[in-house]
This record gives sequence, C-alpha cells and structure tokens, in this order.
Amino acid sequence: MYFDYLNVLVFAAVGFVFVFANLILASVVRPKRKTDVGLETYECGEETIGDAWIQFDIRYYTVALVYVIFAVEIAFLFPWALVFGDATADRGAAQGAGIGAMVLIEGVLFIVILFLGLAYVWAKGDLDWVLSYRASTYQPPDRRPRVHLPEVKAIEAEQEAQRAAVPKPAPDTEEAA
Amino acid sequence: MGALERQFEENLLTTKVDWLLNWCRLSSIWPMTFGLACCAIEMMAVGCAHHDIDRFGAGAFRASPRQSDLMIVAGTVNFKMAERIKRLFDQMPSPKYVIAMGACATGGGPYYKYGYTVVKGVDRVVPVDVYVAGCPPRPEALLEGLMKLQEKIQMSSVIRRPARTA
Repeated sequence: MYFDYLNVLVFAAVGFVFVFANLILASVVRPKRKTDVGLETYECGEETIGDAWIQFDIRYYTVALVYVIFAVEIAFLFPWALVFGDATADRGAAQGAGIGAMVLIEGVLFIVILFLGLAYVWAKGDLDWVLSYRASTYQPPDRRPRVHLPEVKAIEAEQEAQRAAVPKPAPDTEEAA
Repeated sequence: MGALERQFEENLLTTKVDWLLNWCRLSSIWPMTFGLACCAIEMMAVGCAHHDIDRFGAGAFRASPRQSDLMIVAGTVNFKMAERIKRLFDQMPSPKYVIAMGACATGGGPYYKYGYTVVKGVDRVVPVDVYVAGCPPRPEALLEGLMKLQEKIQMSSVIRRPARTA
C-alpha cells in the first residue's frame, strides 16, 4: 500500500531536484557584480532616506476605528427605521405599539452599546488630535550609507560649460520682422 | 563572478553550452516598467496585442529593477531623471542590457542644441547596447532593436573566455 504514494514521491523528488539544480546551475554561470548602489534599498530610483523601521503615528488608525462606530450605526439604523416602520404601520393600535416599543428598546440598546465604545475612546483621550509625544527609545540598526551619484552632476557641469562656450545665437530675423 | 563564468577555452562543448545559456537569456529579456516621454507610448503599443513583444519573450514588464534584464530608455533624459536612471541601472542584476529608444535617448534629439536640462544621450550615463532611431520610433523599430539585442546576446560568451581582439 505504501507504493500507492510512490508517484507522489517521484513528483516531489523531481520538483525538489528541479528547483535546486536550477538555482545551483544559475549561481555558477551568472555574473556577480555587486556595487554599493546596487545593494541599496529600491525606492523607485530615489535615494533612500533613512530606514524603513520607523515608528508611524497611528492617529489616523484610531480615527478610522472611531468612524466605524458611526458607520455601523448609520448602516443599521436606516433599514431598522424603514423595516419596522412599515411593519408597525398596518397593525392594530395595541399590537403596533407593542412591536414599536420593543423595537425602540432594541435600537436604543444598540446605540448605547456603540456609544460605550465611543465613550471609552473619549475617556482614553484618543479623540484628541494632538497626542502627547514620548521620545522613542528605538535605535535603528546601522544600515548602508546613502550613495550619491556625482557622475551625472559632472556631466551636467560639462554640458553647461560647453553651452556657455558657444556664443548666443543671433535673434531670429524673420520673427523680428 | 560565477564559478564557471569565462573559465574555459573555446571548443565544441563550451560553444554549445554557451549557445544554450545565451538562448535562455535572450528568450526571456524582461524589461523594466518605466517610460520617460512620448516614446513610452510606442513602447506600450509594443507591449500590447497588436505588436506583441511577448512573442520575443520580453513581454513581462517588471516593476522592480531586481527582476529586470532590460532597460528600455524610452524618452527624453533630463538631468533629474538621469540620476535616477543611473541608480536604477545599478540596481539591476547582471546580465543587464539597455536599449536607447528614440532620438532623445540616443543623442538629445530635438533638445540637442538648446535643451539645457537634457542629457545629450543616455549613453553618457549608462552603457547602451542598442540604439533605436526615430522620433518616436515605430513599434516595429523597437522590435527590430530587441531582435538586434537578441543577436548581440547570442554572440556573447558565458563560460568561454571572450575572444581576444587583435
């Protein structure tokens, strides 16, 4: 019965060998020319500024979370009002009032539960836009220094010198006339 | 340097191995996704179905220089961009190739005389393998340039020592 899975084993072995044989083959024939610029962090061709391991201010995060309270309220209370309004409309006075009272209590409960969350955030002080700032003790690890490319500046200076050496063109006589 | 790179004398075996490796390289030249000016519109046309650069294995435009083999400099290279181009080229892994597409990338083009912001040819910044003429070149011209690059790659030596020039 073990041989039922022999073909799986063969497949796995072939896959394993295929991947690593190709990696090894590529590593012996490919050129390895590493430069400082080449090992820089890729930032769409920009010079990398600082480190990616920084602390972000999460104030938008809390605002987005608080927004969810109101979004859920809106998303729930509109259909709540419409559906139960229609439901109580055709009933008799006593039955309609009973359903209405229950539905009102349910709705208020829902709002109260959500408001508890808002009150918690409020009491915690997360609704203040400017938070107290504690200086971070985090020290980023040493990274490769920024690499400047003086070559292009040199070409620019050379072209500028060439341009300055050429006398200014005479004003276009046709345009002047 | 790879352990086998340019280590062997030229003979029948190494020539065939080189042919195979070069065929692998030239059949999957992945270009980098970026365009600088109007030539990029023609480059996009080349990437689309009508001209279909994928026939040459070069249709996978990569969004990162780490995965790219080919840099198609499609458009006017000004000094601000030249620095970025140089950095992007340096960030590409070898073997890497450059096609200068159009008059601007080749030699400044219409900005040659008075374009004080324009680099007079991207070959002042990065080594160019193939120049494609035109302003902008038609998609067929870029395909021709790509085929020229493939011919160039086919002639290159991988595990052979390169032929000495007299």
